[in-house]
Amino acid sequence: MMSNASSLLLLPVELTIKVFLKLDSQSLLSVQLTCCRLHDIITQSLHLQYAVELAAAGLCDNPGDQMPVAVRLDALKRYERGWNDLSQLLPPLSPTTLLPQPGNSDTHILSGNVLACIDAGEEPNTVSALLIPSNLRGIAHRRWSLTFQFTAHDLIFDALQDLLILVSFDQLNPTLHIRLLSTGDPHPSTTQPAIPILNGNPIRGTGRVCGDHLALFVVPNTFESRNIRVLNWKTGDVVTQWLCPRSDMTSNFTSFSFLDDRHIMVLSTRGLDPPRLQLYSFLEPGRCCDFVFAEVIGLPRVVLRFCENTAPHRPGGVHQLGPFFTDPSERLVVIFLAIFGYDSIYVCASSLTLLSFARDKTSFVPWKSGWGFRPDMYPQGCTMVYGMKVVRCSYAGILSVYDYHPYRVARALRRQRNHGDSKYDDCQVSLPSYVTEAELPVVLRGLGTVYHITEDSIVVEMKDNLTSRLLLLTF
Amino acid sequence: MPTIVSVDDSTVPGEGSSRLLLLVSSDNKHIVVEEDIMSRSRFISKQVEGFEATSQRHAILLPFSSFVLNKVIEYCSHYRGYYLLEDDPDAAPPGRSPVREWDQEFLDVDRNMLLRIIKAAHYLEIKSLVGSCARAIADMIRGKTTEEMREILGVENDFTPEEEHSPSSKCTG
Repeated sequence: MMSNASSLLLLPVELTIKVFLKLDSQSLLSVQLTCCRLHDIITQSLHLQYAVELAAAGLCDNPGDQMPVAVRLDALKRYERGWNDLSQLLPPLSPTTLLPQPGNSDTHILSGNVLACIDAGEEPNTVSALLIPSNLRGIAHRRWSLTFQFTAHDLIFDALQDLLILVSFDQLNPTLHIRLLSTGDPHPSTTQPAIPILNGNPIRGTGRVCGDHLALFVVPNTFESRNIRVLNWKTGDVVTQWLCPRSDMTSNFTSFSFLDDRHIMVLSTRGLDPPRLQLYSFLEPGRCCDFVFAEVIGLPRVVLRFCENTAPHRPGGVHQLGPFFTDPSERLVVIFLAIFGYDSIYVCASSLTLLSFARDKTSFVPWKSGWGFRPDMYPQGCTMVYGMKVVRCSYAGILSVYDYHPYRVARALRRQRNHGDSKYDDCQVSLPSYVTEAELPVVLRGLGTVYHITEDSIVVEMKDNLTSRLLLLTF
Repeated sequence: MPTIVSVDDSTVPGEGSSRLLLLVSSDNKHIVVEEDIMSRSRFISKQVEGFEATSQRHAILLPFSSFVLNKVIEYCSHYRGYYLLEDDPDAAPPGRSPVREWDQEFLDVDRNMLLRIIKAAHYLEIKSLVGSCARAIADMIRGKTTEEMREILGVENDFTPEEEHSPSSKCTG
């Protein structure tokens, strides 16, 4: 042991705190166990406690925010309590918690707390948008409409970049119109406000945006199978495109999802074979990684549906008002496998796990390492993803939140060891998850399905005979 | 201890309009340095303001060794004339201060020295140097085990055995 003449303990407390503020939470927890004095410094500093709590919740600080630490810590604790005890969910009592339905319900698209759709009524050139309110971020509910001079057939948007992309077929080639979501004006970040799509037609509802990139399924004019085309919406350039192997006409890309701004995960089917999951990289043309599903399924014929994570919040986005946001680098990818005449199952994986496989250049990764899968007992139940959470709602009126975030699962496990009061679920999954369950308010049972979740609310769609309404449950 | 020394501008040749300061370290070394090099230090700036108010200039006594003081002067000379956001008292607190390569090399010293520099920087109120030192110390222990951290930081385990064996009660969350 070195002499204590140069020990950290000789520093003034405010300097010690400054040092510890530069540490990650795991190291901070280790420092806390070195000796009594450092332990006390950490537990008595509001700033350090906030740093530990924030990291343990799997969240990041919003650097532009000037909110005092005490207020942030309070908001963070309220947020944690809310998700850990869903019975605190406030049912829609006042008219303000009833969200007006923006237009026709089947074409809703969602990104960063904004719902939008093309009005299917008399004016096909109107886009309606709805901003879901948030207590945590102090965002009030807002509804607005945009009118365009052309007929829009499809829309893709990214609320965090204030980006709205409309697809029109008015001209010779299908055209992408790059607009501002807030005003409908041409987007200032793009040099080409109208991008024609050459040699093919985009498939409705398949567009995804991640950063500068826009990916679409395009059916080529030459009757080939569909391909995935990636464009840079700021310049209009085609970055890359992937084609299904032409030698085999039965193979087809089924679905895709951005893992980050460089990788796309694609599901493809080929005849009676089990579906294939592949990871493509923009930087390296060709296949990057191949995941195998055969072991999960057993039955060859399946229907696949990708549930892409709703965009996690990033700093600098238009709705970044709150004290913290979800880490954008980690996402949960959920893949639904509906087996004909049988239960459906869903497979969950963290995007970081998938990317680490890809970096190792391992092809044919079995599903078992780092994947979670779960038979779905209520096939009608709806599942939505936010951050690393999945919410399911059964027709029996039970709302379940499965949280796959490693820190939060570890914390739940520790709490369970201490008090025996929380549910930790790893019997069916290899990816551990933490489950919270609550009953939906009586008025919603049988009628409501979970439509969307945000960081502090659950949007439930209520269907009466003909009409459907959106209700907001918040805490 | 040196008595109050009057530094006359005319007696010491200065570079341009910058005047000179006499700093005295705890080991009684006299170090002459240009005033605008040390203007990064809030402490020195306040002293200089005091000189101007009383129109009497004298040596500034500092409670650390010349070895440490020279190191701090080296830092200040390197960033002479540069604007560093962390030093600006009017700027909003930066969320994450930038990592400067030169600082990393400059602070590649042992723990003892690092702790002396951070204390000196804190005394002199040089925020950017305090931040860089804090980061350097944090880098030494990041990702290490508790036992390794004790070794690196020079602290001893003084928990009672019961406390040590129930770390969960000590841990938040």
